[in-house]
Amino acid sequence: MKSLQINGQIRQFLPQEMPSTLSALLEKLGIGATTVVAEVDGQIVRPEEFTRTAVRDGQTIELIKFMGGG
Amino acid sequence: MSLTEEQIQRYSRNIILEQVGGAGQEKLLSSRVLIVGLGGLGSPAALYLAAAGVGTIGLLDGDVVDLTNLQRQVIHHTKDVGKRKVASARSKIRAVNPDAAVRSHDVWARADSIREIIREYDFVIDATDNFPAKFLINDACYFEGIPFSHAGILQFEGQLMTVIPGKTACYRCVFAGPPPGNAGAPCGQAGVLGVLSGVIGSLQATEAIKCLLGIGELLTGSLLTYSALTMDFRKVPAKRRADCALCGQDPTITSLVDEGKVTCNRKGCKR
Amino acid sequence: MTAKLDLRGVPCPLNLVKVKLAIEKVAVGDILEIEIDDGEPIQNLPVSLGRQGQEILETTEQQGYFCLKVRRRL
Repeated sequence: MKSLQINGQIRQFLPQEMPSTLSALLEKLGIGATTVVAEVDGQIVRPEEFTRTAVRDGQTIELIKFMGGG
Repeated sequence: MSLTEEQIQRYSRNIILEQVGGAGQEKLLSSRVLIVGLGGLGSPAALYLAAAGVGTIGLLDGDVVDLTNLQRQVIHHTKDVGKRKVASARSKIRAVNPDAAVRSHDVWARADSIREIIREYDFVIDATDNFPAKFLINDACYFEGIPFSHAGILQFEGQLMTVIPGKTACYRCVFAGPPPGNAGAPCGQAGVLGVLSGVIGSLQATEAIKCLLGIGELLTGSLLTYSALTMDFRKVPAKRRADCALCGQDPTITSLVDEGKVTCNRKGCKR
Repeated sequence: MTAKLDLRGVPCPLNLVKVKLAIEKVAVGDILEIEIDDGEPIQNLPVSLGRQGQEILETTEQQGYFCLKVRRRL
């Protein structure tokens, strides 16, 4: 099994189901790619970089929502 | 400045605190905080800052009170529907604490006027309800060097971050700019748990008071996220970005611009 | 230097607030003499001041009240 820590929670993936990019991960989680920014191992990744940002086993990923309400 | 007998009683629970004392209370009384947006976040922030004895509270909002606001905007009462928000909020603040002088700015946050307003204050609370305003406040506070508290809420979740301009990560270090299209979910359509705004707005007031007093550790360099459904509070590290368009090494934003325009004409909505 | 503060008739916790404000006005190392009532004040105040890091030098019982000598430590 491969795993990612997403927003503090460990998520496991079968090797063949492990998403290879941030875009693929968001699709798998059902999160709209324009609704969040991501932080991969502490580095902020902007939405326009999602398709070319690789995701690897053991990474810590934070998905931070745009929240415009007040 | 010395505290009157009435002030000593009113602020006794502050003064007893080791980190506040009489000197801290006098500092609060001589401090000025601007609250931009008198909605869900701004309501509790204004009431707590007034109660705590912040001497000057600026209120900036160009809206009127709408019936749909009352589910969460606790500074406005049923009788206030239709009144200017700044006038409604001012009367509650004065009722809570006559020590708090209120400066009303009955306007929308706009690029051509916001800098002159915020430079009169020691701390700014971004309690606005739309992305263009949030980025505008971030940028204006950066140019004026005024610390501020960013917050946003959506449905059952909220986020919060304090920014010391030029020293700690700014809103643009995390979110470069507004999300494309309607990705941020428009106002009335997404819904929001009323009490959520009470939690987050109160946290913003906490940060303002800590910053004014110079006590504790500010919520800088990380974004606090809160989920009302799971009761999870999480701090996500947020470092300054060298390529931030505003506070990075080679900035492309060098003056204020209005990010986007009002796109929703629904009553009581300003997207 | 010794400063004096008459807190007879001032209930808890307002007497603590007044002592705090008075202590802020004396220099560290100086002494504040406080007069407080019997009952709650004499039970609470010395403990609270000790907890806040101040030093109680002396407690003397007068007729119906107490006199407390406190040295500012912080």
